[in-house]
Amino acid sequence: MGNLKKTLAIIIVAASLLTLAGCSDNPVSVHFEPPHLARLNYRGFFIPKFPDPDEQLNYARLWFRDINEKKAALEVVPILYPGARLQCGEAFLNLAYMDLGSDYRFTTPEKCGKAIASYRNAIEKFKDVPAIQVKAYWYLGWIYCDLLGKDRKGVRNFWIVVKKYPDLSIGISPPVPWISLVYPVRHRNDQPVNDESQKQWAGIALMEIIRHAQNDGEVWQAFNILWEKYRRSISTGLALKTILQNRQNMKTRVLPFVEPYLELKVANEFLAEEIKKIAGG
Amino acid sequence: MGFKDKFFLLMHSFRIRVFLAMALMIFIFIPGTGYLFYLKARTAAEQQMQQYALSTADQISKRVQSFLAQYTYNVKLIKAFFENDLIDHASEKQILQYFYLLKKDHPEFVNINYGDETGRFIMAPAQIPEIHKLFDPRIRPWYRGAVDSGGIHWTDVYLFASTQKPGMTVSVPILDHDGRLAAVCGIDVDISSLSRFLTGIHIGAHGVAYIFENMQKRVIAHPGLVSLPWNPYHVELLRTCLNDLKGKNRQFGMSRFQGDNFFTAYTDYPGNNWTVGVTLPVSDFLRNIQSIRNTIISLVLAGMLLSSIISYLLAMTVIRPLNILRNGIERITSGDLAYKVDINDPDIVCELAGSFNTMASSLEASLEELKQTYAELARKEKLAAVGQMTASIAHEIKNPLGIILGSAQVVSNEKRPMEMRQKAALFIMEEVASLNKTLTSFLEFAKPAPPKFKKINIADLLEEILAAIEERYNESGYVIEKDIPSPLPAIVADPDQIRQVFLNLLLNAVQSMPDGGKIVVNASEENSRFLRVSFSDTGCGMSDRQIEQIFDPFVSYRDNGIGLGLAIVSQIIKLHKGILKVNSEVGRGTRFDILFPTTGQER
Repeated sequence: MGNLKKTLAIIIVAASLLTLAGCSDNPVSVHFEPPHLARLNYRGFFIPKFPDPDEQLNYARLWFRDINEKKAALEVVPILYPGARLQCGEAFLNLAYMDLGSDYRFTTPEKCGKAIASYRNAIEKFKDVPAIQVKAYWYLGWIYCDLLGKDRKGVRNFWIVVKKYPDLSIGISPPVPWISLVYPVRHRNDQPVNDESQKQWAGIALMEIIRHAQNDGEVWQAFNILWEKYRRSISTGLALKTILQNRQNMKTRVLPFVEPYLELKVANEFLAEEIKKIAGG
Repeated sequence: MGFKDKFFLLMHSFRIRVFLAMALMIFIFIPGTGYLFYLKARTAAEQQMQQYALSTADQISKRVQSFLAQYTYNVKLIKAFFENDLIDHASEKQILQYFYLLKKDHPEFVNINYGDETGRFIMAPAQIPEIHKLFDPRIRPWYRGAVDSGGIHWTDVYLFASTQKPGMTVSVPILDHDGRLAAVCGIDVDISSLSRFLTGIHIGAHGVAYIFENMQKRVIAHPGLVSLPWNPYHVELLRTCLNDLKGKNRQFGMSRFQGDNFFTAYTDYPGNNWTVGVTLPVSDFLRNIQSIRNTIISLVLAGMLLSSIISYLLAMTVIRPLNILRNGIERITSGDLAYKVDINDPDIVCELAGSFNTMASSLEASLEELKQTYAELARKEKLAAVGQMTASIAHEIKNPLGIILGSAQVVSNEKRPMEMRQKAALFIMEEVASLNKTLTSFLEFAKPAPPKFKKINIADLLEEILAAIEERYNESGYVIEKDIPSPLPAIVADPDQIRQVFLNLLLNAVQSMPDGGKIVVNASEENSRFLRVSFSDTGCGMSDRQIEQIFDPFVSYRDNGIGLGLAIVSQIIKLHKGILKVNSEVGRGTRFDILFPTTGQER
């Protein structure tokens, strides 16, 4: 009897397992839909509301097919995060840049005037945010010099950058919008070209002063500051090349700096070769 | 009867055992077959899935190739414009105008670049100024790659400073009329446009096609990247699946990610160090074979139900001939030896039935023979008994008759003194009384009265008899012990005859102890079927030879005994279908046991 019971039990268990095994593996549900974000309808565009002002700004900095959508995305930043001064300032500066048109190389004096007003407005509105101030001054200098040909006005703004904000860095790409939006934080660092090299606004401003200043004294003064404070920057190499190429009367004064600069090995091979060639010539 | 007992009986039922044996075969065979079929179907579906996924990855790879070909074509076109002097290298405005024209036709071109050996860089749309100030095209991979290869060059994926999106650049060197390098032009391809392209490819309900960049081991394009906000789960999933598969050096397989299973297939993309992968949740695949599985489960359940019914009916068929045989045995047991079973099954059961019928016939013949032998024996025994009885009666009568004759002669002789004649007359009267007693006993034995059965309480009867005996013999040195529990099972008997049996046995006991002694009377239930009544004494006892004869009529071991007392006891017990046993030892005493069949529950 005992054996019969055992056999029965084993057979029933085996049969049940076989049947159950055939009934297992319920399908899992995997959804590839993006996570839900609230969207703000602003000027006819549905702008997603991101959880922090950085992400909100990065979204607005993306490339948009419709320029008006980009403007709307930028204008939404101070609406959603009025307390985030840096991000609001960046959005403001981006909007000011857009006043120049889709390509600044085809801009008009009117557009430049509008942009200048916007940058000045930014300087007024964001007195408490040096990063915004320095960028606005630099852009003013650039518009005056490169787009309007008003070198004196431009140089004056560049000098403000040099004197008031000698240490403020520009990040050419950080924070990188697309990466910050698309990649999880832990994977951002292994993404391509996340340029975090420290370049100062003052360094480029000095280089621009050297390019656009009318008198040699001002050029020499700018170069000296560049050499003293920003010797290892690419701006110094480009400034050297500019002086050697365009200011023959100052060539002898800067020649002693060529060798030491090249020894720093901060210039790329082409720039180094050009400096060497011009200096030798 | 408790549940355990019922279950025990059920499990011992032949019918249930046969049914279970068949049912268990079914419970193993059908689900087992079903499961094997399911596994086979699943394997087939998996192979189909593998072929589907791999061929999809192949197709996507080809489509990606043709998608990218348009960029190659256009960059070659730009080169041709420059080399055929349709665009002037010196005119930035002309270059830009052409680039914007091209971009208008191809909005998917992120940037169109031009760089020359002086470090001049022109791009449509414009670079942001602070970058442009420091930018040197000659050190960029797209420029160097084109110069080094001397032809079409695809860069690795990198981040475009202008759009801050990852992408790659296809570039080509532009030569002057002397075949020397004049410049390099390139088109930036947005990787997300590849993702957009992959979005249009439907692979099952949740399948995803994607491109994996092998050098830095990351997913560079997949549908999830097209729209923002984006779920990082996807890239993690795809990266895990593909790395897992590559680790196993297989082109197709299943990987586990965050508790779910996914199928992945991949193929290498020609030209770039890429892999085109296809990943889809196993749930999609399961959904496809779910209908197969459901069908199998339904069939298995239906099969099991149907087979259980059939096996039950089969079990009944197996049992039927055995039932017929059992009925036959019951009929024969009840005395119907002429009964024959009728089974026509063409196998062992039929043979069994044949053997059974032969056995019944043989029994019937043996019984007939036995009856004849018994009748003959009875007749002979009867004659012997008559002879013995006649001799005994003659012996019993002869002596008194001799005494009567002698006494009669004395009475009739007038010469004899009156006193003597009176004494002789008394002898005659005593002997006639003795003869009367002997003949009465004989008649009781020879022709016993039919018992008048009724339900009696044996304890009451015993108490009544013992009370009379005690009164008569207690003072003569007899001790009577009794153990009669109450209640005792009732029996059906003639109370007068049973009283005579008990009285005879008790008087026998008294007579076996002339100088007094102990008599023990017991009554008890035996196996729920009998009532045992015992009479023991401490008298002279009997030898084995005496025991053999004590129930024969006219056998007595006492001087004045007729020898019919125990014979009548034996006869009455037989009439009551009882059992009479005797145990005796010379000098120690004798014990009589009577077993009466009880009436069952009644008391």
